[in-house]
Amino acid sequence: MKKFWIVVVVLLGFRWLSVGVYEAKTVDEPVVVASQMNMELNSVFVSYITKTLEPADVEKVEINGYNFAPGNGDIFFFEETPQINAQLEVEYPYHAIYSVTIQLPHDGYYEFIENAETLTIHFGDESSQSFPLQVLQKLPLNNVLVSQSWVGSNETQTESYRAQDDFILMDIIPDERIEILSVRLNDKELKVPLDEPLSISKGDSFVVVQSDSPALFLGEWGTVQLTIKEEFREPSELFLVSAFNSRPSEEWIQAQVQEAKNK
Amino acid sequence: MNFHKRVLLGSLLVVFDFNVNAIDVLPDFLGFFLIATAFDSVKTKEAQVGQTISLVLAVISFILLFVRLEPTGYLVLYSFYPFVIESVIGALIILQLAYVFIVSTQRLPELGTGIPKVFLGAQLFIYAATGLTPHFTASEAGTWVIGLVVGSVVCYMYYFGFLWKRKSFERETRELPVKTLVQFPQ
Repeated sequence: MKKFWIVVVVLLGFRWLSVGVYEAKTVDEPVVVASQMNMELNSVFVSYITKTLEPADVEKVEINGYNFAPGNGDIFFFEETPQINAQLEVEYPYHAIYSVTIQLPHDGYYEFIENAETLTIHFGDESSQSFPLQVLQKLPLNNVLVSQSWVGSNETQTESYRAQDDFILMDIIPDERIEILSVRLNDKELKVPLDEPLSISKGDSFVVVQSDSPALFLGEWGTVQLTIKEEFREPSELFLVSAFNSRPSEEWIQAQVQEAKNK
Repeated sequence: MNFHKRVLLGSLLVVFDFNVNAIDVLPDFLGFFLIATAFDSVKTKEAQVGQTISLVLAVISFILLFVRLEPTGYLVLYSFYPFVIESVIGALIILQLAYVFIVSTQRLPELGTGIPKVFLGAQLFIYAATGLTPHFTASEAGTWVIGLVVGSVVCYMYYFGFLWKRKSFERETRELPVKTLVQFPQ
């Protein structure tokens, strides 16, 4: 019976060691990794890394002193209540990314929160973190390029467009999450950034191949800004929008956690 | 009530939870206490150890009626508290099971040894394997835990069968009055 006691005590130690290893590998406090106000989608997104067991829950999100919280009647001064939905984006053994979406009922909310530069997220454990709020303005309408087809994978996205009008392409600027891998005009490879403005005619085929990035929240966008000049008009910006396909890797999450621990 | 019957009833109270308005009407501490009284009916050193383990389990279970095993509970300092408490309870239950088998053998020596190595080995394996759960994702852990629960159910079916058989045998051989065969003259 003494041997049996020893085995049980050893297994008890194993159980405690196992929990200790888990605690050492996971995060104590959630790490906010992204926040974006997308005026095109009337939504505010926040993503955070948290532990897989007992993940941190969101109590409220504060922007410019206005609180957005789950449930009804939690936003001050408004009759219509924006809803917060938290959902699991990706999960690995020790970490998970949850994202919160605040769906605003109408544009009227922007006058209160549109100049916000930071967002504060309050968690259920009474901790809170402020994070720079990226603002994605409403995209200007322009139909000179119309999407024809799209092919995507976890590494690249290829989208083909057809020119609906004549214009001059002056510049191509991808956002920081995207790398332009190839741009083709009527199957002819273009050098990016452009050496000189390029004339595009109605009916031309325009293909952009770009790298994909991990989506930190549901439907995160990447944009490629084209500066164009149409006849008789001032130069304007045209945005090619693509949703990211891939999920953040375990290594990327661990790097973010390590960075947060070192702060 | 004989030793095996008390252990059987006590184990049923421990294994089955029946909640009415979030209150367990079959509280575990009563089950552990009943098992402790079963050990009290046998006067051996092993029965004393088994009784002590059962009483410790009864006290812990009684405290847990009032203290929720959640990180938000007022007695909880950090998140792995439930794991620490549950691992202690699990270890004590395995030891209690072992002492039930030993005392059962002492109580009914004519049935030979009642210590099933496979059963106790399975209990140890399930106990150790449960400790690996935090290292899986939630979905993987769900599958893993279902497998362990199925294993536990099979083990407890065996255990209850064991106790039932021995309860009946103990009743017939230790409790019922000896029947006298009366022969009538031809």
